[in-house]
Amino acid sequence: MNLVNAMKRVAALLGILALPANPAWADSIASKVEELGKMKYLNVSSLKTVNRNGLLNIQAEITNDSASNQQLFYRFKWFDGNGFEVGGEEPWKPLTIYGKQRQNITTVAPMPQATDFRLVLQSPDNETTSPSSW
Amino acid sequence: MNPTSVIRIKSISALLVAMSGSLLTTGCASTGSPIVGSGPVTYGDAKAVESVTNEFGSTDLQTMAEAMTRSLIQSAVIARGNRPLITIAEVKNKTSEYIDTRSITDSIRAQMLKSGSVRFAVDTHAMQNQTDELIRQNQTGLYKKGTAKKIGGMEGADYRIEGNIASIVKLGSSVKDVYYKFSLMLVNVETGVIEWADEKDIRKTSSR
Amino acid sequence: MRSLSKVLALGGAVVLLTGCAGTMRSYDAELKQTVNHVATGNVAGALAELEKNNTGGAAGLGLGNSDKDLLYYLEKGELLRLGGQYEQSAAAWLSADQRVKEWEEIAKHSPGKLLGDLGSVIINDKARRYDGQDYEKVLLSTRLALNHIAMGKWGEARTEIKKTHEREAIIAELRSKEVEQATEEAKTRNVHTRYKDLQGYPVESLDDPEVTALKNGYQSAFSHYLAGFVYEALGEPSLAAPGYRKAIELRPNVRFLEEGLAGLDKRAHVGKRGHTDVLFVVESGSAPARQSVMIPLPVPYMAGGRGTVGVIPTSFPVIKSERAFMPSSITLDGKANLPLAPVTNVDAMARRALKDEMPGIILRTTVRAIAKSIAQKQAADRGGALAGLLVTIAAVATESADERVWRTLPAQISLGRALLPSGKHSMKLSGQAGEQQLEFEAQGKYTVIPVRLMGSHLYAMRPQSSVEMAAQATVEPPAKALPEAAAPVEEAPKPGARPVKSKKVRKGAIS
Repeated sequence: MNLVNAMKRVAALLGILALPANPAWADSIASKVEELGKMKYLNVSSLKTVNRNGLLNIQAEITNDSASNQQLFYRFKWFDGNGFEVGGEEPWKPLTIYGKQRQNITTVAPMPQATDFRLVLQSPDNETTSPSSW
Repeated sequence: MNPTSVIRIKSISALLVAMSGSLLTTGCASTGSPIVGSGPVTYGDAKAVESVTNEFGSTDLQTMAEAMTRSLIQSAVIARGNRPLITIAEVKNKTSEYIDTRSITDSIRAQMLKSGSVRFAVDTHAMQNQTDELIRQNQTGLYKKGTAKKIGGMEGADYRIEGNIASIVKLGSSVKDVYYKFSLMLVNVETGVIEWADEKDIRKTSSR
Repeated sequence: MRSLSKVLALGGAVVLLTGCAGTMRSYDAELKQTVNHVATGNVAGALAELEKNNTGGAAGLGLGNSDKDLLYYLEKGELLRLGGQYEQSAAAWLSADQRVKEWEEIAKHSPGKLLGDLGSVIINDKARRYDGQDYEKVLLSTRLALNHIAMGKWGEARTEIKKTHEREAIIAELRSKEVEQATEEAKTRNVHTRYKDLQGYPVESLDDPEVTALKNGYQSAFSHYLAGFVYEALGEPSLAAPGYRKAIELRPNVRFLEEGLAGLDKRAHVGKRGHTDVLFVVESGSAPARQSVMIPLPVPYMAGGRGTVGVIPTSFPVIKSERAFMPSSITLDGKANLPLAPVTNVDAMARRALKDEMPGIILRTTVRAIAKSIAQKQAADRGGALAGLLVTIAAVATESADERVWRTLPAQISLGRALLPSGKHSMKLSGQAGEQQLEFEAQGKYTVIPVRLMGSHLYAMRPQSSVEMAAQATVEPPAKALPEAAAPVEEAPKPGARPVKSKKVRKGAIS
C-alpha cells in the first residue's frame, strides 16, 4: 500500500494527468504508468493484468488520438513483493502507432517473483509541464 | 519580508538552478565528478533504442532475446514447474550479415536462468572446457580423491533449443528496408517432439 | 628587358601555382626496384631498398615530413611477411592500421573533410596525403589476420576479421556520399568529361569484363572466405555462414566458394579426429602499378569575357598490369591433385578502384587545368609567345598523376582446401621456373598454408609456432599421424564433391 502511495506521489510530481476514457480505470492506470512527460497524442486507454501459471500477464491498450502516425518507446519495470526491482533493466522498445489506431502491448513477467510492474512510456512529442512547485 | 526581498530570493534560486543546469551539461571538473579525461566520450543507456544504421544492432539483439525468453517461459513444458534441463544447440545464421547468434542465445540463456524455471547443460561449444576439466581432475593425479569429480556424472539435457535467423533486404532508390525473422524452437531430445516454437520479427527501414 | 623580367616573374608565379614540383618522386620507379628484388627472392635487398627510399626527411610522399607514411608500413609489412618474420610484419602493419584507423575516424565523424579535399584542386593529386586505396585498407586487416593465424593466434585473427567487416561498412558509407558529391560538383563546375572521352587513355583497362563484374573495388571474396574459415575454426558456424555466403555473392558461380557454404554444417558436426582442414592460400605476382600518362585535355575557360576552349596537357593515372602466372593446381604428397580456385583478382580490384575514382580525378584535373590555362593565356597575352611556351613547359613538368599504390600486394589469390591427416606433407607447385616442392605440417583441426609466387621465386610461409596453437581451446593439438597417413588424401569434406576431371587427376584426387 505504501508503495502505491509513493507511486502516486511520484506520478503527481511528474505531473501525470491521466485522462483515460473510462474514469474507473483512472486510478489504477495512473498508478502503473510512468510517462516521461505528458504524451500529447497517445494515451493508455486500458490496462489488464492476469496471473497465468504463476506469471503476471499484462495487456495495455495504447490509443492514438491524432490522425498521424505516432512513435512510442516503452518498457516495463518489474518489482517483487517488497518493492524491489527484479529481472534487470528491460531494453526500450520502439513501436509505431498509426493514426487513430488502438494498439495493444502485451507482455509477461520475466519471473514468478515479479508481482508488480510499471509501464514506462516515452513519445518524442511528449510535453513537459514546467515545474511550478519550484 | 518585503516583496523585493522575495523577488531577490527567487532570482537567486533561479540563478542557482541555471548554474547547476550548466554544471550538469558541461560536466565541469570543479564539482568533482568521478571522470578522468575530457575527451568527447559519453556513456549512454545500454538499453536505448539504437538507430544509427539499419544493420543488425543492439536493440534487435535485446528485443529478440527478451521476446523469446518471455514466450519460452510460458511454454507448457517449462510452466509445469519441474525445472527441465535444457541445452542450446546452434542458431543458424541465414543472413549475409555477420550476426553473432551466440550472443543472442547467451542473452536468452541468462534471462531464462534468472527466471529460475529452467536449468541449462553446457552446450557443444563449452564442451571442450568441460571435458578438459574432468580429465584434468581425474587423470593428472593432482587432486584429492574425494574431491575429484567423477567422469560419467554429467546430466543429459531433456530439451534443446535451436533455431535460425533470416533476413530479407530490399534496396530502393532512396530506401533500404531490412526484415529480420528470428525463429526458435524447443525440441524434446528423447522424443524429437517440438514442444514450443516462436518467431520474432523486426522491420527496419532507412532512407538514404 | 622588361618583357623578360615579366616572363621571369610569371615563371615564378607558375612554380608557386603548381606547388612543390621538385620534391615529387615517382613512386612507380622506386617500387619497381623493390618488386624486382622480391621476384628474385632477395627480400633483404627489397627491404634495404625500401628503407633507402624512406630515410629521414623523405619529402614528396604525402606530408613531406620525416614521418613514414602509410605506404611505407604497408610495403614493409608485406616484405617482412615474405621473409617469414611474422612478428615484425604484424608490427609494421599495425602501424599502418593505426593510420587507417585515423582515416576511419575522420570518415565516420567528419566525412566532409575527406570529400571536400580541395588541396589538389590547385596542386597535384600526389600532394594529397596518401590514405590508401580502399581495397588496400580492407586487405590490410585480412593480411594481418593471416599473420596472426601463422603465429597461432586465432583469437587475434578473429579480431582482425571483424575489423574487416566494420571497415567495409565505413568505406561503403563514405563512397556513397562521395559519389553523390562528385556528381553535384561536376554539375556545378560544368565538367562533363568521362574517362571514355579521354584521347589516348587505355579505356579497355577499366572496361574489362572482369573489372565491371566486381561489385565494388574493395570487397574481396578472399577476405570473406577467410573470415568464414576463421569463424569455422573457432567453432562459430553462425558467423562462418555469412562469410562463405558473402564470398559467393562477391564472386558467383565458383564451385569452390559454394562448397565452402554447402559443406559447413557437415564439417561442423563431423570433425574427423586426427585430421586437419587445410586451406591453401596461393598468391602470385604483385599488385599493378599506377603510371602517369599525358593526355591533352580540352578545357573551357573564360578569356576576355568570351568562352574559349584551350588544350592543356594533363596527366592521368593508368593501371599497368603485369601478367602473373597462376598455377591452377597443386600436387599433394606427390599423388593427389588439388585444383586451385581463383577467388580474388587484386589486379582487377585495383582497376575497379581507379574506374570508380576517375570521375573525381577528372574533375580535379579539369579544375586545375582551367587554372593553368588562364595563366597560360595571360602569359601569352602579356609576355608573348615565349612566356606562353614557358608556362606550358611548367605545366607539363609539374603534371604527373598520383602513382602511389601498395605494390607488394599479390595480384592474384587462389584457394584450395583439403582434409588431410595431421602431420607432415609435401606439396608441389608448378611455377614459372618449373616445379617447386615444399614441405609443410598440418597441425590442429584447422590450418592455413600460405604460399606466394613472385617471378621465379616461391615463398613458403610456414606456420611459426605450434605451441600457441595447442593452447587454443578450439584447435586440437597435433595428433599423431595415423598409420594410413601414407594413403592418398582423404575425401574432401564437401558433400557432393566429385573429382574434377582434369588431365592430372588420379584416383583419390580431391576436388
